[in-house]
Amino acid sequence: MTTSAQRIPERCFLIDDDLDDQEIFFMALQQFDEAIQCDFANDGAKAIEILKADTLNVPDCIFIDMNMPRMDGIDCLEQIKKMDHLRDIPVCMFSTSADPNLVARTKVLGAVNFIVKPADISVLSEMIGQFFKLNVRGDG
Amino acid sequence: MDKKNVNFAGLQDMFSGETGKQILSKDWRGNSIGEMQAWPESLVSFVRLCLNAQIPAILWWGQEFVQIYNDAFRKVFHVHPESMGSKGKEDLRMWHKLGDSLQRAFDNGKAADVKRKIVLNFEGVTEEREFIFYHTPIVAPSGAVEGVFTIASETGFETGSRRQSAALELSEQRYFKMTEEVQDYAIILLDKDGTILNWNKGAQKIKGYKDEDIIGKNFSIFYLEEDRRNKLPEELINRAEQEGRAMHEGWRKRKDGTRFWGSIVITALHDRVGNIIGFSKVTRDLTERKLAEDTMRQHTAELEMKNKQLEQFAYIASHDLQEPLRKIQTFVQVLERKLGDPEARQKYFDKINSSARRMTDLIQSVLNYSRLSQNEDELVPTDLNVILENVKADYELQIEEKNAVINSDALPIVKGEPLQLHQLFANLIGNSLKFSKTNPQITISSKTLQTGEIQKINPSLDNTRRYARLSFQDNGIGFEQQYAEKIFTIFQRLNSREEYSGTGIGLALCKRIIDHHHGHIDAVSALGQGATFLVYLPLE
Repeated sequence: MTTSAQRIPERCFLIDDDLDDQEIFFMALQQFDEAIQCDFANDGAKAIEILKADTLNVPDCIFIDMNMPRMDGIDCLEQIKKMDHLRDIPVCMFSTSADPNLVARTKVLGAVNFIVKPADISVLSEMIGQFFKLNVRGDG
Repeated sequence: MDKKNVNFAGLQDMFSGETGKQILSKDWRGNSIGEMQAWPESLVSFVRLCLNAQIPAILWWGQEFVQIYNDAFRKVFHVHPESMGSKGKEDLRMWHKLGDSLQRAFDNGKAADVKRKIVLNFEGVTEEREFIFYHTPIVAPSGAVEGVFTIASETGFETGSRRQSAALELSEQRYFKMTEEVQDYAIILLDKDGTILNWNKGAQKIKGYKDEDIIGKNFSIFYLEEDRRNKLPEELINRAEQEGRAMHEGWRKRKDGTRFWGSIVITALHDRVGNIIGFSKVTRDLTERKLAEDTMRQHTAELEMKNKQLEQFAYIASHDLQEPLRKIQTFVQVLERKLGDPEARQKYFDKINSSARRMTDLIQSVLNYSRLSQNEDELVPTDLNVILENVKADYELQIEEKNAVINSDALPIVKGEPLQLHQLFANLIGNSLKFSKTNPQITISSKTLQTGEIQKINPSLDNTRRYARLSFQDNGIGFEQQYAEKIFTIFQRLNSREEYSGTGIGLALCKRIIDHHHGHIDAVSALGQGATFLVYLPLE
């Protein structure tokens, strides 16, 4: 059994314009592992600005909401994949619904997963946990 | 009896043809010339002679002129079968014509010929034909006249050929009439170069020319300028020349310049040795069918587009409607966990409430959007000054609160649906008020675009109309020009809900209203520089 005490806590980054969804995400993340740290950005432009500025302190994974004002999830994903220090960071898309065309598009652009926001926090927690195990901790 | 039977059997071989059979099968008992077995030798000989003759021949026997005739006679004069063996004097048709001459030949024993016109029915046509009847009296060795033998010959060969040529003429006349009188097809004759040689009623009806205006002109006169430039008439003639015929459908020109959709077939006409001597051209006016087809095609395309839009709309709407619903479910779950914490309880109840409210707003907006009428009949002359005053009255409170100033030109009267134009003005002015933090300045100005000018703005609009260009300018937060198109898409928002409320439907609704009015809307802005919405509406 892996415990948070035995490893350096991971850092994740959520880009979502909806403050409620930020809160729900954080609750689910904590339910999976209280030790994981999380930074938030309310829109794509702000996120790119933050991520660009800090090339040393890179997050372990990035979650991006699809529907955001101005820069949407896809634009944001493209920008992130253009940055050398972020290119290999696993990205998970995060959305209320999944248009198959848009899902395929994000895969092509390099997203490793696409989570459709569930109503149940425990289900979301499990989804986030799966993502961490498979793509961040590499022990899935 | 035996001898008679033998004789009778002999007669069977001697009496040939249809009429021969008729004579043999006839019951001659009671006839004035008696039973066949008792016929005198001379009668039998003349009957044979008559039957063997290849021209119409008839034997009149005895005082009563009993008639015996051959196949040719029967055929030419359409003799009734009952006439065989009947008394000539009682056969009124022939006796009326020949009685005098026959009686004379019988009485004085001298051969004679007479010319007579006989009315005959030939292949359904009743006509008068002239014959020469050659009468030869049959004189017994005793000197007594036993009967008269008559052969008939139609007068002159020229009669037959004249009849033929008359029939040909009649047939040609009928044929000519047939094409001339046809009204639904233009049937015309062209010479080798496409010069029009004749003209029918259909051609006059379809193309509007009278024969005197058009005969002698080239058929390319029916083609549109553009088709003539592209040498379409020549191409069709060439194709007819090479392949025997050419078919084409396209717009053609009437005398008065109006157009019709013609379906044509040009067929090459050849002489006996295969040289082309001209062309026939048959044209049908299929304008109604063409227009109906075009309308149907257009409707189908519109339906397909609307269906696609609806699919898109259903997807986007379901996405945006799901979001508050999902939040309500999540917050109920969170609330269950934190029921003991009064502060958290209040917080999540509020969140549930606000999500439910948002859900209601969204459903209402979606309904407004989808219910927007697209009925063409509802477009009426609408005074935009009245619309603006009404909208200003609606926003009176907000205008006062925000200390807003609205300046406007005199606005025109446009062709529109007043309720929708009210909604349009309300959404645009409402946006300007919403996105201006302090002292909103809204300027509404109007300009007339003359015919031909709208094409530069939107090529799909009617270039023959004049348009009003309305400009709604504000001093609000504006947006980057790159989003100028995106803002009219349903549920697209440029700002977070926390800062500026809204469902993301307002401008999409404006766009839909403008589309219904056959107008155009676009936006010019820069971040922090205010926004200008330009609305183009057709003038009355």
